[in-house]
Amino acid sequence: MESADFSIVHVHPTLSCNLRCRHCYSSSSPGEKAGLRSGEVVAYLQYLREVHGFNVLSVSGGEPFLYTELNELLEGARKLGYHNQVVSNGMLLKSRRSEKTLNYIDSVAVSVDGDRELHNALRDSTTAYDRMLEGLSVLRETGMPFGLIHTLTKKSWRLIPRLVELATAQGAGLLQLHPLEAAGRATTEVNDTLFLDQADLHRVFILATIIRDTVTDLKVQLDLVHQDYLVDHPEMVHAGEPVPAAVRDVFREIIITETGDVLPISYGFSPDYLIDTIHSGRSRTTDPVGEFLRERGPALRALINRTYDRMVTAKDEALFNWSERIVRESHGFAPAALV
Amino acid sequence: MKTPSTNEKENTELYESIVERLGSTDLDSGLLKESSKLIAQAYGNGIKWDDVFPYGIKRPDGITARGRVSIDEFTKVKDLLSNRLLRRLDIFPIGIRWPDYLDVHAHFSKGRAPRIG
Ligand code: SF4
Repeated sequence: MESADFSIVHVHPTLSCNLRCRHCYSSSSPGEKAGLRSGEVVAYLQYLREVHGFNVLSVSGGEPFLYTELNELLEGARKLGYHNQVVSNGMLLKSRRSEKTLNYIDSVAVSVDGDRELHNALRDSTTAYDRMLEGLSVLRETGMPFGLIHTLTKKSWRLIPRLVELATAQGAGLLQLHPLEAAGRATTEVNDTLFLDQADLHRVFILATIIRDTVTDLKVQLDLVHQDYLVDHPEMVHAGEPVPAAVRDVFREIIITETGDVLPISYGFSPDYLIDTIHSGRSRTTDPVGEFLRERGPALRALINRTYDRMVTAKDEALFNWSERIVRESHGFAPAALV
Repeated sequence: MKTPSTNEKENTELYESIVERLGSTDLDSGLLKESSKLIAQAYGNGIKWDDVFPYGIKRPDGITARGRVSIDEFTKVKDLLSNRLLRRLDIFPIGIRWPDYLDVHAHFSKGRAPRIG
């Protein structure tokens, strides 16, 4: 499948996690016990697949391997023809239950925050790194395609060469570099000095580009866009005509949160743009996403266009994470004023 | 587990030396900004970047970015010329190793006279 053909449903079925990382954007923790009912999620996935062509399920959380109905969710999605991805801290993969779960998964993304010391410090755990490595060996042994996701901080960007080496040695197909976001627990528990400034982002951008162009057998993805690139490619972020004609014209990613809310584009999006809730009990003969597009599509497009204009003209912010910026902007404007 | 091949080890050494060079506190942030701008401009134009070197006596006041472009996509290199700190662009054949590619060396600095080579 070409990447242009992906339309992704990100499901956060629970915020329950065996860790309580300082930088967790969803503020997950062992204390969070609630979880969505897999039957409701699968019914919604069926609607999204049949009516709007969504074809990739990405389950994160929380730690998906703690979600008690994970197998049912993945099995249901698989039957609907979804490509199933799971984002995990990798620590719970060595168990009988996980072994069974892996049968329903097509690829896994495992979080790595740097070397052992840095990883364990951010994750507030003395065993997180070693157990994550154990998890990678399970993935390798089962032949499961996997990638590593790294949260870039001021302390970690210099470790990128080591992460490339780790990813290659472990047999990962992807190394995703994601700058630390000021979201969730990171806003209160991460020291300001860990966030990358613009000069750091330029360094990372140059380094990641050279790595991408010289490394073999590993895809390197940096979650940053340069404003000059965006000027020539507004379609990349769906900036365009005021009234979008189809859902795919405004977003290719939809979020189902731990409370069952359905939101566009990215986790943390303002509830002003709430599309639906999976427990709404509406008959699936209606089309809540289509309805959202008709009623709120122009407001969402206006938000995208405004964020686009702001970012391509920003004087001191040539590099940025688009998702983070649009989430921030979604909270900053009164949508009614935009239409 | 795969043992890193010599090539991978060489890559790690290359990347670590780039980290050292880019991480130098002496490196002007304006130059960093222009270098990443150039790299963004080159993206999609077929240029692959292989290395980057700051230069200058005492304090780096310039950057050379080295890359390669296939002969077929060579004309797209002109897009780099709009970069305001570009001082010199050298393009030459790589030779026997990659006969279908051209070497691209782009030099930026804040104060030298422009020259296209
Ligand atoms: S970052 Fe991941 S592993 Fe850490 S608390 Fe959040 S969900 Fe759990």
